[in-house]
Amino acid sequence: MTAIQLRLRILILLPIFYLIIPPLFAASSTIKEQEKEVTEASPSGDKAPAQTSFLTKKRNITIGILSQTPQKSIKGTPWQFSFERLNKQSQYNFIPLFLTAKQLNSALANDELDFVICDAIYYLMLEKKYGLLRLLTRTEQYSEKFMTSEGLSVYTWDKNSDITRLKELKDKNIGVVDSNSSISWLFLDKFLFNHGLIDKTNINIIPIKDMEQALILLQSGTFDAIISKSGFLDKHIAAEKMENLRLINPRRGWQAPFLHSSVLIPEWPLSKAWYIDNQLANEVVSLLLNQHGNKLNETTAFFLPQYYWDIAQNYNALNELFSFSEQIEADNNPEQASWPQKIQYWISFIIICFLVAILIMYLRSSRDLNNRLTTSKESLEQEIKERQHAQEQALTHQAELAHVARLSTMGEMASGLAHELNQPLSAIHTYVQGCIRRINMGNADLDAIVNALQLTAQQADRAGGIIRRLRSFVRKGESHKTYSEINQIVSEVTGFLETQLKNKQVNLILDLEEDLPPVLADIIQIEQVLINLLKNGIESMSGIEKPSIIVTTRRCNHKYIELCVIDSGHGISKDKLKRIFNPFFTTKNSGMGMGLSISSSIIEAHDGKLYAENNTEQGARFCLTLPITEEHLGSNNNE
Amino acid sequence: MSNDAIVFIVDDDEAVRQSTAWLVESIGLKVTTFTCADEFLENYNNEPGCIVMDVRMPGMSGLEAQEEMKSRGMTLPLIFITGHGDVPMAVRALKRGAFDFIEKPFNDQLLLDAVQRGLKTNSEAMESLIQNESIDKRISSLTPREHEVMMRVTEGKPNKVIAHELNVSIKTVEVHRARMMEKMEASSVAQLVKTTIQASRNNILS
Repeated sequence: MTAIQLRLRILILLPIFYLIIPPLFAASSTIKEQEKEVTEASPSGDKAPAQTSFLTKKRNITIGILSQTPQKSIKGTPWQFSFERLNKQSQYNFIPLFLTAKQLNSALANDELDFVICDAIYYLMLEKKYGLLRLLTRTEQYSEKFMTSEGLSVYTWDKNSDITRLKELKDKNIGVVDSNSSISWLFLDKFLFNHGLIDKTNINIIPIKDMEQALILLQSGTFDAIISKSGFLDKHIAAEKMENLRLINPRRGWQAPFLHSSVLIPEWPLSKAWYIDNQLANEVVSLLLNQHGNKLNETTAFFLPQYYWDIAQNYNALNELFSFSEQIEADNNPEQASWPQKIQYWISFIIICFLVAILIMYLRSSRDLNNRLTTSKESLEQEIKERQHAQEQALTHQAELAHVARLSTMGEMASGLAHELNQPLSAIHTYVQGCIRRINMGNADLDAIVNALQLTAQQADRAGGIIRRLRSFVRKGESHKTYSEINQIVSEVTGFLETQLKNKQVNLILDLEEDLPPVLADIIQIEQVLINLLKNGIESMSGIEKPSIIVTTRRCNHKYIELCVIDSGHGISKDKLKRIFNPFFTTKNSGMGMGLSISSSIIEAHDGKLYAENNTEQGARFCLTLPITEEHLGSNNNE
Repeated sequence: MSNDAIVFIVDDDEAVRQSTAWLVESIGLKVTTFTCADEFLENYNNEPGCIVMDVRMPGMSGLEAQEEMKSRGMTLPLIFITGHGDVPMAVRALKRGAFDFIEKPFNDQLLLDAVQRGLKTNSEAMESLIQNESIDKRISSLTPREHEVMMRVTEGKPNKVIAHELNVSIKTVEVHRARMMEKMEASSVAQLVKTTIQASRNNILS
């Protein structure tokens, strides 16, 4: 396979890339819709409509918040307080966008998010990919303590004594409490993975939003265990005195105010996109950090948990722990895989497929080539035979075509020929009538009558000659070449066309070189060509004053005899000159357009050439060459 | 029919020309042959007779020759013979005054009849021409007064009326009348009237 072919195939791939890329934008468009919805919805939900209408004129700052469950409004979520503060205290209009991991990823890919809030593990991935920079860490208040770390807690109902270790969660139904969409799913995956619960094939993970419902299901035995964010259930357990609830794999340390089954990782970071300038970032940081000093009153705080903000956490430990987080994501959460990554996979997959296809085609083509080589040898021999046969057939066809053309020429010349035949016939008739009259009148001069009868016989011969020539001209048959005198052919043909020349009052001038060697030619075919050339010449001179045709013969280079028919007609225009030998090309109203085409092939069959050119002054010339045979070539050279 | 009449045969084809001549000669007519129209026009010298001419010839064609003869005032009857005549060509030739139009190969009788009719027409035309010339001569020999008298005599007016009209004596009228009758070679008034009618037909009388 050639390099060009390969290049062509690669070119074919390009349009396929373009087909794949559009879905990227589809994802981003959903974000735009959501953004629109939020901006439209916010005035009605805001406490100060007048101020909001003023705010909408401010620059919009989008903040993407990871949320596996869709949420329309910020109202009633722990984020509400932070956003209210941001929007009131700054000159910007902060728009929260709740996005799934997938949406978050594609939005970032299109630079549609100014800030991002997501869990620490997902952040690590996005940081590498999109150059995010974490500014703050979310904190939650547990009794009097603010925690900048989060963990996971696994609870079982006490009677399910068979689950004492995390490993035993295998093949069990686990309810994951995810109210406010605040659980870190990636962390959960990692946590389960570390405890031998590799994927969802050997554990049933059931997300459940409502905490109380989860507890009821646990109590009823539908769930074997529930997992929640550490500290999330503590308050509830304390209030309800649910002593039957047992924490599996309790850890200590970190002086955490809650019990937890997993290690603790930093809380969700707030990060800025790479293009956000420091001034804006500083403003956001200072506003959110000062949120501590602006607490809500106790009652509101009780019903509505709030997120607060602290400085960014050190991620060194986390980095070590979750260096393979991307791998987790890829292996365990294929549905969370980012679109660009999927596309990359698909593109490389398609490329590989194509390369393989190309390789297969190459191999196949080379195998075919081998097969063809072996068969081509046989077919080539066959083809040679066929070609020889075709050549013979072509010769026959050419002869047939020439015959048809001759018939056609005869048809065109019919009226001229009729006239030519009419002359001797009427002469015969008149002579005979004259004789009869004289004899009847009795004053017959015998000598005169004999003379008249001799003249009558001459005329009968003349008529017979015309018929003979006509018959031989339209004779059908294979071409047979004899040694012929070209000048004799010329005089025969000009005799044939005498009537036509006379009628058109064409002055015919013969300029024939004497003692030309004979040429090996089919007389009739050469006559046909000459008649054709003369007829064309005569027709080309209609409307010309004093039309004349010159026919010349001469030796050319001692190898050829050249015969030229030179007319004084209108000549041939340049574009027509190129095409006059083409079949079916004609300038006449009644012509078939085969005359010159057939003439050309006849002369070529005689190893000669037929060509046309314009005279320098007026009219055109058609010349044909016929080779002198070698024996005559030699004999004439000696002379 | 004058015995000096000549049949002029004009045809470029020698065989046709000679055979036609052979045929025409067989009825004892004089024949002169020409190979083309130009040759004929050059050599023609007002002889009486008729022309047998081919339509298609190199050089001047038959129809062109006809035009030329017309412009020269030649009145020879012209019989066209043609090998490939068509109706429009024949109509054109006859409209321009051709005597006949015959197709080759022709029936010998048809041609000879045409030739003889042609010769007759020609000789008659010649005769009337001669007669006209003599009348012209006679009329021009009259004096104006004799001419006036002749006009009134042919109108059937008696001498008395003529004398009154011309304001002369009856005697004078009688003298003029007698001289006029003598000059006009008329033996009677009836003969005079016949001569003047012929003259008026040929526009001789002014």
